[in-house]
Amino acid sequence: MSITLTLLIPVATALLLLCIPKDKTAELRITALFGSLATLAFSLALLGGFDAQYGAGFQFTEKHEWVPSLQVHYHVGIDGISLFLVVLSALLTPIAILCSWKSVEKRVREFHIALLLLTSGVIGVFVALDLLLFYVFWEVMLIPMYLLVGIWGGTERIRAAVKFFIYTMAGSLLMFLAILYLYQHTGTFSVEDIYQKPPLTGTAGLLCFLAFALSFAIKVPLFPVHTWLPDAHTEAPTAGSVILAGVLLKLGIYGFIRFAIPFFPEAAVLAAPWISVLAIIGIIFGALMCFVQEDMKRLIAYSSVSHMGFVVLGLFAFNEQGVQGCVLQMVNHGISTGALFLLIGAIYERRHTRRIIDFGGLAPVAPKLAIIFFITTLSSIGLPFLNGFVGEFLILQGAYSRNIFYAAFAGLGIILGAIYMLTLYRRIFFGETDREENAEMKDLDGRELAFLLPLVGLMVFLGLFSPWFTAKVQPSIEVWMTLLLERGG
Amino acid sequence: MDHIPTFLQSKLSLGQSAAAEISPGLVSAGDFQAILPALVFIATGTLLLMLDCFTRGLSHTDETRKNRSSLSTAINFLGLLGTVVAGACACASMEQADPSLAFQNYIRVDSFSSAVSLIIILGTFFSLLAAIDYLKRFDAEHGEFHCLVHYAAASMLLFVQANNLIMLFLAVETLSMAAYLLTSYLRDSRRSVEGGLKYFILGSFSSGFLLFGLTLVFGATGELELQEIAKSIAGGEADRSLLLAGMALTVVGMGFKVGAFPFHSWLPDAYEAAPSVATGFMSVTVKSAAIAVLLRFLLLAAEPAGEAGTASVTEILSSVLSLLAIATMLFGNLVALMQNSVKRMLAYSAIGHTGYLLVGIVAALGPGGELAPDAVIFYLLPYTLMSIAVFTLLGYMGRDGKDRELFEDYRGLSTSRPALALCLLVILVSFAGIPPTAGFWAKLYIFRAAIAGGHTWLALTGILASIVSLYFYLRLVVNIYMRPAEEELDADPDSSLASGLVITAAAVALVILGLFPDLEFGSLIKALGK
Repeated sequence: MSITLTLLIPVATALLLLCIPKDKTAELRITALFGSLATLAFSLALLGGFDAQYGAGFQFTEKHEWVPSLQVHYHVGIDGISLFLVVLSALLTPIAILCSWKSVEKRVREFHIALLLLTSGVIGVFVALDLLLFYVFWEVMLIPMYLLVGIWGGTERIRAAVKFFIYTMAGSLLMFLAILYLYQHTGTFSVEDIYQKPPLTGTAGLLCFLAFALSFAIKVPLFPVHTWLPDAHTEAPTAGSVILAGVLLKLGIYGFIRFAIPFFPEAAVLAAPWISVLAIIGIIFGALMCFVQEDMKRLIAYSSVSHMGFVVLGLFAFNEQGVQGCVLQMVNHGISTGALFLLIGAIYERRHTRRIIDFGGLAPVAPKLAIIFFITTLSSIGLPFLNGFVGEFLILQGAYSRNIFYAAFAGLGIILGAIYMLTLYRRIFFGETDREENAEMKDLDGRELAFLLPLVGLMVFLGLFSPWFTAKVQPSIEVWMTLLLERGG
Repeated sequence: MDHIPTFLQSKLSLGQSAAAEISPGLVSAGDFQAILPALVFIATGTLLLMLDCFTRGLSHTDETRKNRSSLSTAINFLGLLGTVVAGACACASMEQADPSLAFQNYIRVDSFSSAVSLIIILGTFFSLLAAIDYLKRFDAEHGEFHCLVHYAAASMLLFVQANNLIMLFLAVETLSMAAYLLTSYLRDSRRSVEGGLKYFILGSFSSGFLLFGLTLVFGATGELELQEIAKSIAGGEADRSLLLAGMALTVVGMGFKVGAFPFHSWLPDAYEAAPSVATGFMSVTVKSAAIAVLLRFLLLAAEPAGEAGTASVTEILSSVLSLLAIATMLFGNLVALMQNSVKRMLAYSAIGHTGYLLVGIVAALGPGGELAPDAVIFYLLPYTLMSIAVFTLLGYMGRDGKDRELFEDYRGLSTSRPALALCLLVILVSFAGIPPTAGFWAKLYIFRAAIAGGHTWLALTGILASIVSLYFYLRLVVNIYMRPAEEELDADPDSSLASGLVITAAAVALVILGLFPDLEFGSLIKALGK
């Protein structure tokens, strides 16, 4: 029941919000916050109850008939790979609500409803063990995200929202066709059953893999289908950016791990070098784009392209270190990039500009902001003892044993990453405080610290105690690797 | 009689002897029971017409106005009541498992015809409900409207129950007449009259094709009754070239009625010109009836695959229909992309939806097509709800006797009418085929049937067309939700309760149907006696 409750509480809260008059903003915010905290509590219960030594298969599973004529089931469950992604999604929602406490003033009720439905949708994607159920969640979460960008976004919000929507839907509709084709071939939508059936091979397998891969690559986003991301990120409200970077981008990677690769192992192995090359291009290209950005939000968006390239590279190394690094780095990226967007949101609320050139010398004016921003920057560039390091290291190790050139280029990407992030930090926080507005800027207040400090804590915790994390993930990855070998990957 | 083929001679003489057997006493009460829903529609339609004729006041005093408004209420109420009764009768016939024949086999009641009848009645009910507001708003409360809608509904029910070529043609002509009149119902509006005339001319033309096609089918098989035609074709007794020509012309004629490319040209004009409620009514009921009849006709008249190397008539038709389906899906959705008027956009998107339905028909004709008839009928249900709801919206937005049809007119609707906007969001999402709405399952069933029948290319084209369609459905969402209104929409006119009811009911139904979309496959194809 825990998973169902985690899914249902946000929906129930959203329905509850519909009953509150729309001008009672404080009540609306508090209700939404409590709803999201309850979701978080249930997801933490999942984390606490999770048994790493459980062996193969999924935990907390529930299975009920949904559409008998198609054998579609409401079938949910988690393993080590999805566990942390569920917790991360549940964690980022109250943070998103808190960070919008003051910045979102129009249509407060609709905003929170969209945010809560989005949470349900993404958690649903991570827990679904029925292919059609997964697809339903995958599509359902698009609409709230589209509205979040389109209604509460910046000046170019409509273009960004439509671009985001069309890109993602184009990919997912082709995947839909592949799902139906796969159903025709295997006669089941159950993910575990499909794992047992002989995989689709040959051209059909390759085409189906490509349809799945395109949909997931757009979501990741992988070069060259990444172009929706900078627009969507830049225009989205802070809460939207946090969820987008923190959770939505991981959906693509998760899709590769859970569906595309194990369903079509032959095609995945065949495509792996190509996808790895695209990932490397993404790493380098994203990093280079960061050097020329004037808008700091856009810069972080491009850095996401670069970082997600690492994650894909680790995954398609198809060895234990790579995949482990991939799963770890997904969570790390969610935390550190989420925090970066929150910080930029806080700066934007104060100064109503995001142009890097408008800033300088903020460190003495806002020391708390400067310190947290610094820790987050270091986490993002992968300094040892912070979370980013372990993940990047594992990915590099995995990539190295696949192909030394992959590792070399990825290493170059890390160096570039350190340069642009530190440059960004220097331009914002160091130097003369030459502008009056900057000199009068307020430091972080209690509310902002309340949602930033937990993330900083996690950065340190995951950096120091990564074995705690890997111990929970490791068995599931071993099962996954065996599955892949069995299916001829 | 030498010039008549021998197989026809025997058929003709058989027909004569059969005619001789018919005596007046052969029409039984059971016959009338079979067409009870249609009879209810005809009776209420006539009653309403009479009521309107004999009670309409001649002078424009306050008293007559007041009488007029209570009369309208009575007419609206009776009209809806008649629809509900007809629906109850159709439900009752849905219960009976075995197909029954009536009127010397002219009528066949089976669960296929009952399912389609129910969808048509549902569409009629919603249209009449929406019409309450619309007609009052546009000051066009004449009894003819209800009468025409009822007659059209009755003829559509007979159309889907028809088991005989003559019955088929009579029913389609009656319903077309009612549809032409409904299109030009706003008789003071040039546009409406012009659209009705265009529809009439092109529609008569298509009826000619249909009649010729049906005649040739009769010529090829020597039978008028669908079941007998099916037997004759299956037994290989039919003249193949005549049959092919007949079937092709029938497809052309029906292609006009459903608005398939390249026989669609009347559709955007007629849809745009007709009063919005009438557009909503026609777009769903006429299409549902025509698609259902086309499906039944093609399935029954299917020719089994011949020896290798020669394509059977059905195979030829199926490949022609696949091309039509591809062209219709792409054309409808691509042209809808370029429209600035919401009404025209919806008209072209209706063409696109015809394309998806044709995919289902193609799938039904091929091997492994057992899934398709149910998928097609299921598709009609959400389509009915969505389509009527958006056309009701168009009527609702109309002010001062004018439609507000441009995308810009819908700006800021979410701030002035949040509940309405939410319902519309659901409806548009369903149009685009996104879960958790019924529109998603409709597309899923159709594409699944296509893939099961080996028509992966058709499904792929359908998917590509759906991607295109996202843009114009979203465009309306963008205007409703994301752009601020330039001018505040004036307060709701006093008559908007029924429109709101239709839109809300449709949105709720779409979500419920989207959450519980189970469908028993293969049930309808059995009902057809296939």
